[in-house]
Amino acid sequence: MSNRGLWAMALFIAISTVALRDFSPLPTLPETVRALLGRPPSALMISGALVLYTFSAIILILSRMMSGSGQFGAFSHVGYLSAFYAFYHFARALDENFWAVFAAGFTILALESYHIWNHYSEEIRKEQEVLDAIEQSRRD
Amino acid sequence: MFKSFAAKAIVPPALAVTGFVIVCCLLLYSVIKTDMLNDTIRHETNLADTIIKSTRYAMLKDDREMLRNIIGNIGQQKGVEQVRIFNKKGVVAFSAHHAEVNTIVDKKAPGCIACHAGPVAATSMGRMEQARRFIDARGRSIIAITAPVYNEPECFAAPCHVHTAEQKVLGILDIGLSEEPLQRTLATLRMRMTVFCLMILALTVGGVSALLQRNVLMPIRELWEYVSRTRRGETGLKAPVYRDEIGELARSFQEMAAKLKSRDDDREGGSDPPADR
Ligand code: HEC
Repeated sequence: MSNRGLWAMALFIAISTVALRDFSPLPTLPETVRALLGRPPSALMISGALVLYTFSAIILILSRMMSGSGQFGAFSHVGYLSAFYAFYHFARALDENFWAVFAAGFTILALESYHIWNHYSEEIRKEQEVLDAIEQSRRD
Repeated sequence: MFKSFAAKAIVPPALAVTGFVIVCCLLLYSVIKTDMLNDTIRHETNLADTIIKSTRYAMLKDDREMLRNIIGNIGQQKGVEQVRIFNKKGVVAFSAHHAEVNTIVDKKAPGCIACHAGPVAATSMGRMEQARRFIDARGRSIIAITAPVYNEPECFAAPCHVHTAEQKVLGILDIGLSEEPLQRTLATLRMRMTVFCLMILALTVGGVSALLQRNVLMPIRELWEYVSRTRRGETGLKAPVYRDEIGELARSFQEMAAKLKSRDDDREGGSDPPADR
């Protein structure tokens, strides 16, 4: 459970290596499907969305850290980040913007992992205290 | 204890701020790079058009000697890696590299495919399609522009009657310019952004640590010292005074210690229990 953050990070890095080669290991979408999807948004718009997303994700994680809540969204972040790779790919701007998405993903997932790790080590400590107390009362 | 506490407080803000700044820098860099590349291409297409205009009279007079000179001189300009004019059959008619003259280029070559992709050749192409970027045999990156030389009434009405009115494109000018100045500017930009990101990282880590040290760690250490000395039985110590939660904690501890001490004194001194408790 507590290494969910690391799993998400590993998954993200795996997706990134595929994206780094501009999704060449995957079969390309046929032109008809591409036409059905419509015109991709401009790279500038995607970049704006990426900045907004990164900002709000960081704020969300920091506020969860402050309130000590046990809510995590590591895997959904991997989903959003992959969507950004896909959008840049369709806008034919993945080459220039790959590292930006990667840095965003790394920052968000590292924060999230740190949060998860902290949360569970705190939980474990509390659990340990309860066990110690039980032990103590049994010995008395 | 202090170390892990400091780390806990420093890691999240440092990671969040630096990560966000890096993302913004990378995106900004990519936007600036695209803009600069488009600007360079626009300049170079203008240059190609200027060259075509300046050769117009020589072409009209079919003055090959003059054309050869113009092209040769342009080729000597710093930053110009190649200039050549193709005639409409895809043969190099003039070039700054004399060895190239009269060689045939395939019409599926990168600069030509923009018009020759379909079965019928297009007569015009978009401004950005005119440009192509490649790395030449000597490993330098080059932006090349292909610009069509169009047929005009004066060309097919000229007394030599070489061209007919039906021909749309009489030839192609192909000019390649070194990308080196652009790359140098981009490299400086990259370096400045890296320094900027490192400064942000240093400032957040430094700022958060300074605040922590001053407002949390130092008071805690003082409180801790006071508590451990009291525990060892020292009396008459003054609790550290702070006007925040730590000061509150110190005051409570001092009161508690005083109460315990007076109770101990009572128990040792008097045989009867104190009346007021
Ligand atoms: C501006 C678009 C354009 C570009 C760029 C262009 N061509 Fe053409 N090309 C044409 C057109 C239009 C014709 C038909 C000429 C006419 O009007 O008869 C043509 C005709 C030709 C022909 C003879 C007809 C044929 O189809 O075999 C050859 C060969 C040729 N081009 C080679 C090239 C080569 C090589 C290049 C690259 C250096 C090139 N072209 C770039 C537009 C272009």
